[in-house]
Amino acid sequence: MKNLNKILYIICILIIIAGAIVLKFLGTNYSIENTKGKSVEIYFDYSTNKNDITAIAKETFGENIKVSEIERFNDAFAIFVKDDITDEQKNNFISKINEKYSLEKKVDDLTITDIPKMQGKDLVKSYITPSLIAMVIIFIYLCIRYFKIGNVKVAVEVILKVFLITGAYFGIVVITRLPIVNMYTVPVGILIAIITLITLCYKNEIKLKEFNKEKKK
Amino acid sequence: MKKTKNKGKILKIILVVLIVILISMISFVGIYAKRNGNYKNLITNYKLGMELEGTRTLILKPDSSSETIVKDSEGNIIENATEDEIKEKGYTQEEVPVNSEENLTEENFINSKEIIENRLKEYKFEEYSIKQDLDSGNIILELAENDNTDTVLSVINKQGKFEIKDSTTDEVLIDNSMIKQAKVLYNTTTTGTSVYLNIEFTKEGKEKLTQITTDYKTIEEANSENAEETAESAEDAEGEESEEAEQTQKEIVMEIDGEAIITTSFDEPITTGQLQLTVGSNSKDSEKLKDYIKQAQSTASVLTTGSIPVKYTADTNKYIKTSISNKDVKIAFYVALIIIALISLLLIIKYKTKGVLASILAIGFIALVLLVIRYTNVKVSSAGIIAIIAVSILNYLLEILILNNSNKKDEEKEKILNIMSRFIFTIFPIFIIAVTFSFITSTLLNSFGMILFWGIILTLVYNLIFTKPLLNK
Repeated sequence: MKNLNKILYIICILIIIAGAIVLKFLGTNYSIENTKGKSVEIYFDYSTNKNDITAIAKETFGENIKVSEIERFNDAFAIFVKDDITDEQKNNFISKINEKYSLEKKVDDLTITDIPKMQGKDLVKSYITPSLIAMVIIFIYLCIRYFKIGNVKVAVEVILKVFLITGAYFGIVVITRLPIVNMYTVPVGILIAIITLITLCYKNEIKLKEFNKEKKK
Repeated sequence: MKKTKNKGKILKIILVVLIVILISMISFVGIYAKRNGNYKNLITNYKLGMELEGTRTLILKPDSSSETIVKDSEGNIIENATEDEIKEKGYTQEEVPVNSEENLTEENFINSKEIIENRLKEYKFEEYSIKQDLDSGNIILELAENDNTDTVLSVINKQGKFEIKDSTTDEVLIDNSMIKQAKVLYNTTTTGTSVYLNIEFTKEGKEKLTQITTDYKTIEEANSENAEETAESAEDAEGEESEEAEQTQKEIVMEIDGEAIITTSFDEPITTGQLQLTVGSNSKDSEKLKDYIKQAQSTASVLTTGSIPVKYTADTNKYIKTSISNKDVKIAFYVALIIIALISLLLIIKYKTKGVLASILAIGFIALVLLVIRYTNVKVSSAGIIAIIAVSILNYLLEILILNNSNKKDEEKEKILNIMSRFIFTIFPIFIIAVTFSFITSTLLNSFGMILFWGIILTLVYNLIFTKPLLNK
């Protein structure tokens, strides 16, 4: 079991190193809302169907798009496209919209805006200070709680293992080119850290229980 | 005796299961009552974070317009010159870009973005995201839609150029560099609440303020004292007239982005280094008071964060709904359902009847967490959903610990309080994370911390009340 754990942590270190190399040379793969792209806005005089607009947008700009309603009346939509868009795509989109809704819209009726890339540091910076504060308090707690079974050594071990496993998760995200999504990439990382922390603390609680039992004997 | 005990036990199980089912029904389905002819759910709705609901999107672009400036023959800029003055004095007019070429640098773009972000932080705006194109300087600001959004949007791109000038010579006496911070202060008396904008100056600013408030002292006071004396003799009156002619009232004008806020003189020198401006006084109307506070807060955030080096104009301002569709929500719901079903199946296989009860209790726990979230002013963000998953895991863990203990031989069984205390020590680091994150203004983290906090409290209370009597036998 101890060997298995060692292997697991070595794998984690290797994944982190590999992730760092991939990050250095290829960067991260941001999701549509975080990457550089275009926002194509189209306005109608009446309510339309988001699903139809999505279908037409996918036919024209490809699968890598996201459609959101503008305001609340189903009469305006913003299509976020990950890549640059060509004049041909714009023309195709307008002609398909005209065909679907029997309109006479022109390319000029589209509002196209450049969407800048989200800076990686902006995505994680709000997590840094509270995570560091929490980590310091947790470290002090672990030192006090597991004083009898190893004091600082146990605390360092727990924090290090949490870092390794969470780091490996982010490494996998970078290596597999999974898109970095605001909604879950970092929160899932925190969930993994929490599960690891619970597992390690539970193991230490058992050790402490046995230590206390031994002492009583 | 044994029969009565068994009957009591069955009754207890039925009662607990019924309560759990009731909680689940209220949480998942709701309580419906007829209101104005329509059935309405009486259970409060979830408050959703911006990534789950929608954002107010504002595109800020560096101002590309030009402005006309008037110069005299020596090249000095003349402010507020009239057409007649220009003609009479031979002033020249020049068209200059609002943002000069040298001003539109990457460094200034980054600084501008940081100042805008600091303004949002100063204003304690909980949910926003900022993207910037460093080539064009364009900034895309996404804000959560709430009561403060409009106020924030109205000031966010203000340059924030603060100046105290001599009202006649336009000489700049104090500028942004001398401001330490600006705060909103309140004073409640029997006549109502007054809202003040308190501007605190740096050491240099403090000295300058003392000097200005001495130099620009209100003369009326001196005049009224003199008036008594002058009433005694006509000679003195003549003297006073000549003194008045010499002592014209000097005034300062306080400007933000070139707009005069106040033109005034000072009754007495200010030596504290703090200047208080009344935003609204003696108001008992809560709506008015709210407006005063918003106004003062937005000005305070602009003054504290300093002047934006690049002048920005708001290009578009629209509400963009989340791209999460009903289909996505359905998929997430079915995935959650499948996971819960699988865990329940595993519990039933391993613990038989107790496994069935544990499954029902676990579903009841999730229902209770969801119900508490609705009533504790917690905004649900994506991180909040992860927190719900985390507390569900904690609850399953405690249930399993209790189930394992109940399956042990009597002599090996531990007291439930021992299990609970070990569990508390195990999850205490998670509780630390929950409390730390709960104090953060950002909705994303606050939602995570608050849900985790309430979830941990509920895990302990719920398992003591429901799980312990049902599974620990």
